[in-house]
Amino acid sequence: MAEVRLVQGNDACARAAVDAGCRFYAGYPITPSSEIAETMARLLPEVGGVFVQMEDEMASLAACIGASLGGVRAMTATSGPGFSLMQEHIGFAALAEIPCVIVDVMRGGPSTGLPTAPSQGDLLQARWGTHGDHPIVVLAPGSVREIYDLTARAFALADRYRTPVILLYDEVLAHLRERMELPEAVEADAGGAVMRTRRPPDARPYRPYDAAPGDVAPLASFGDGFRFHITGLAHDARGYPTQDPAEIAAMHHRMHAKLEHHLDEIVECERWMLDDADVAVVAIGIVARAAREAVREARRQGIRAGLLRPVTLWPFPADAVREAARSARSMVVAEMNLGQMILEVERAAAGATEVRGVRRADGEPIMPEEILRALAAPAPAVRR
Amino acid sequence: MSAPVSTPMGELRRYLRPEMMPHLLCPGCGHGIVLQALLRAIDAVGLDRDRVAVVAGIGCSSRLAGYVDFCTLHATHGRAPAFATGLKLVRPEITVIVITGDGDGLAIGGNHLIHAARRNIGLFTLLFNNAIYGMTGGQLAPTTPPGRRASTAPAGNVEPPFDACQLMAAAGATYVARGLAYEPGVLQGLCEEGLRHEGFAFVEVISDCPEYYGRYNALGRGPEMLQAQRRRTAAVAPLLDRKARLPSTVMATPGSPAATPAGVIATPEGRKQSPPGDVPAPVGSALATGVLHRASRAEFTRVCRNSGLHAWRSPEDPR
Repeated sequence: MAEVRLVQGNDACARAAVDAGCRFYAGYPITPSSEIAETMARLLPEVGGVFVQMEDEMASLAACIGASLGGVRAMTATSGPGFSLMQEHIGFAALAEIPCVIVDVMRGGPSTGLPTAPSQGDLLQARWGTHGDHPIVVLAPGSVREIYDLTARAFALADRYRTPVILLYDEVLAHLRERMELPEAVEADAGGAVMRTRRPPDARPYRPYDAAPGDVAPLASFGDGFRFHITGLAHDARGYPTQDPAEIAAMHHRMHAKLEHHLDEIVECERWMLDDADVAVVAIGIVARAAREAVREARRQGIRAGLLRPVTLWPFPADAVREAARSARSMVVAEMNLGQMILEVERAAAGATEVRGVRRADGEPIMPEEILRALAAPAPAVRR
Repeated sequence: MSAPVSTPMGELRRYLRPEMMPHLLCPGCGHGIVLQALLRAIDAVGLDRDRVAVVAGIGCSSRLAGYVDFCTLHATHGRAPAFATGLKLVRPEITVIVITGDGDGLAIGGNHLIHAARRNIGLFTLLFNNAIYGMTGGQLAPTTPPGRRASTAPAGNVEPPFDACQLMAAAGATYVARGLAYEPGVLQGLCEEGLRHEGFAFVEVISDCPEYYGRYNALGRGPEMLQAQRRRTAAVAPLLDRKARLPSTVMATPGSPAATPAGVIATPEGRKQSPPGDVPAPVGSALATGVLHRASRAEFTRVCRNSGLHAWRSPEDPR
């Protein structure tokens, strides 16, 4: 029988990383994510990994990218202000297509904000925080067990698609302790783009970005016999800087197509009691748990409610939202911010149904009653 | 210091990526001379090209990373030491070279540079100091001498400059040297010793930017600037023989077997000559060149390995 333990969210994240083969962690202390660094500092030496506390968050992600180029799975974790500092290197990892995992434990912002209080204020920053158009994968776990599972999945996706993957959860989940069965084995190898081999003697020149749109070029490691160039400049298939408009356009197209052609593999979304729902709640993280309670209570009161929970936040599960928008009379987006995910829900719903927001950014989690009130509000006229 | 080994020019070409040419350096820029000295040093030390990584930031000097046929990482502005730290920690068998400039390394990336030095991680860092931001068009750098003009200091700089070598020695670097683009042979020797050094090795090289710094300050073209830099500097070894150093600038690491001063050396010659050219140094004193500081301290990845904190595997291990 699997071992059962009481595990804290941040602890589950660190354990999953090690179980998934992460052997390098670089970080900088920041509440409410520090337990991840502390646990990694304890666990990594036991498995021959490297933990290093860097001088700031920019350096932390930079070190992870360097380690990843050395052929080792690498992770960093942070919170609001540190996540802001990391943005430049998230862009670098996206453009240079270097796998790495970044955990952002969301606390109240902006600025120093509320260091010990939860928020979901980084939903759009996780997508658009770095400058320029770039693809990104963001996962949003909703329980301690799911933090474990999605951390492992983050490494698999990062390697498979040569991309930074962001794990986004709030302070409540970070410090929540739940009963969890410790898995005996982790499925972290999606088979993928990252080569762990040495250069064959008769190999053709290695081109780190030589792939058709929708494909991912294999990534070699430094020191394994492949000599190649990695740059944050726009580059051609060889990785050499280019200012040729056609080559730049091809780079962007390929970079985005590698995710867009595989949305069915990447995008995950939980649908709960949606089939006959008149009103659908859209929520992630700890808010989705409050929403589940609200949906249960609404059903007891005769309101046909359901829950749509994006597990992959980005790429946004627009198809699932669109489908729910067509079948429900209204949607309620509950989030611990002043209205971020609702913009994406409205875009996906495209006017097919009324979308209302339950918003809170005062450092307190959203309560089931708040969502229930929105569910119980008079249904709008049917617009089909 | 051993006499520099002279590799024929043609043999150095194998270290270059011809498909990346033409390069973007301006006529008269000393950076190409410095790159040649570095490649000669790599050749003389006999490094395996597959096990050499060059990590660079942003700026004219950092673009050199793209021109050399090693594992090369052209990273973000100022952060090369942090990228290099991650790489070196997981692959200590690789010789990791950091190429940076005075703006890249001392302004935006100053924090990473001092912490890499503090850890004494085995990175060989070559900082090109041309006293200005060349890539972006001649803006003020943290190394621009007081009074000198830059596009963002049209009336002359009012800030005091950093002394990169003093900074590095104070931060914990265990090998600190300064060379000149004007003296590529000497520079090669300094780089060879830095490449062989176990620990954080730092070489500052005084190079020139005739296009901006030279033009804004009427210092002539490349050759005049490089010659003037030579006149305004003094090799540290003969000066030490004459004990002509300023006591207040001596920096010695306690217990270090060969601690030498990294400070500004006051020489009567330096004051008298005061040539028309310029170097990034306080006016009225000569800038010391040569090996300025040595200390003996455990290298960081070795410390990690010994504490069991290491993912190091032998290069022969399948990964």
